[in-house]
Amino acid sequence: MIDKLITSDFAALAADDRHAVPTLEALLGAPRPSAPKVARAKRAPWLLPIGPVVVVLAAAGVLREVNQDFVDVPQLAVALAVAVMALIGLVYADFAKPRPLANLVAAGLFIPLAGVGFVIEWHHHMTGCLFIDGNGASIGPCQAARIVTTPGFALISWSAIMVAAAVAARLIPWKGSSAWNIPAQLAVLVVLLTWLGLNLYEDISIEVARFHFTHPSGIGAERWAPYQSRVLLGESELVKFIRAHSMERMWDALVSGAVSFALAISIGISGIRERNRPSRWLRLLESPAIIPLGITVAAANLVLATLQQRLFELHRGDPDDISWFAACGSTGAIVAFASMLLRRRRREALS
Amino acid sequence: MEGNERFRALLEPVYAGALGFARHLSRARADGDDLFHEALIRASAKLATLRDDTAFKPWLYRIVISVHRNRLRRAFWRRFLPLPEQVSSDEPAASGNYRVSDWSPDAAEAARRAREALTTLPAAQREAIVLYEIEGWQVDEIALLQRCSASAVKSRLVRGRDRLRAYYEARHAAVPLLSGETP
Repeated sequence: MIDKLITSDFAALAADDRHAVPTLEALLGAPRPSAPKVARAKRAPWLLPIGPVVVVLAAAGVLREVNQDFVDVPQLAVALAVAVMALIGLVYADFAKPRPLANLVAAGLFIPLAGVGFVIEWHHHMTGCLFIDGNGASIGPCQAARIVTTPGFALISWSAIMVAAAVAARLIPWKGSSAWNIPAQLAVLVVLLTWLGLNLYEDISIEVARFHFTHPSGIGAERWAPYQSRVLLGESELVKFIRAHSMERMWDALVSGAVSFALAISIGISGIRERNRPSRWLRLLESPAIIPLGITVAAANLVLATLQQRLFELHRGDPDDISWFAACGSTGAIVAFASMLLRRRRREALS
Repeated sequence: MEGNERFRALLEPVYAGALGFARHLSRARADGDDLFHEALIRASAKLATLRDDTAFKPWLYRIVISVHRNRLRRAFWRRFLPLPEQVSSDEPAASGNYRVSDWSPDAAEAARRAREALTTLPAAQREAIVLYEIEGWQVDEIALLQRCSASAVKSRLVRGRDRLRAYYEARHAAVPLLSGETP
């Protein structure tokens, strides 16, 4: 009975949809295909991929100048810049063209560099000294003061590698693997954010040392006078105390990086499997709600981190939560950016 | 101009069926017409990439499917809107530009029922059901159109029929058949 009803309704649907078929003249008369676009001559094609790099660097630099929080937590500045890029990409589809080979080259260069850079920094951290003077305290190599800070080095090396990879991709006549294009692009950003997040230990070391130096709690009582310089070796109790605090921050950055990196890998695997069947995971990530959601998460965590920093400056809060907010914010920004890249790839595949 | 003539010549024998297919896939006939127009624009722009003119029909249907899925993703929220209550009242049947075949208000209600049921299916199942049950395509041909295996098409057909059956049993179990049909 039901099957016959369905068959009957289908027959009615077929007749209904064909009962008013326009003639071919009427059909082709209404819409006309637009004229094909004339390709413009590209004068410096390698300049375009550098755009996002310049945007992130400029945004991070401006934010660091405007707000002290971004000096202490550079991970937040980059995460905010990435979130804004995702928002722009949502509105403006052709914000940046995909560069499969450039992304793979950048990932191949930047990930090892970040690994080596962090190992060196970690060695300094474990063997360095605590410098205390009238302006506060800082941890660093016992022998010489550093000219470039670790966040500065991370951003400079990232931008240099992105430019080098963009130029290399133009010189090498190979299109690259499209399935791993987006994961490679994400991986570079994830590693950059994780690298900056791992170096938060240095910032919190400075903050904790400054707090105990100026606060009459007793831990900083080893000082001789308020404005007299003092160097503590790595084996001192204060340095051990500071290092114990920094571990939690590094753990937050590592967890955030692992989650975002797993996201990038899952997109790559789903992209390969999608050649045989559609991927629900990629469909979910391409949902229009993902980008606003990720941007909201990034912005909310930025506000919370700022508030926490203000409370800490008033000696009323614990700064340990700032790394957690930075980790959540950077994860939200990466998810929004991944959604933007996937939606752009889908549009290009269908056009 | 030569390209336009070629496009017109290729489109003439198949456009009515392809337009019907686009309408079957859509929530309303007007949406189907929009979908078909968008597919025509895309087909016209990409006609130079068609190497074999005898493959024009599946090529055009493939474009209709692609546009349909693109529109589904683009307008996710539209699936939550109610279906139009009566889409046939303002049909341009009197226009000299249209061919009018046999049609009745009873059949319109049955067609609306079928369209409503089809919209409950996922896109892939809906395409398979429409192509197989209404358009009369073979499983192997649908597999080529949907770029999947024949067994996947069969699976979509079985699942689609099950969902349609469940939908009808829940909502239209007491509906009589159209005149001339016996249960």
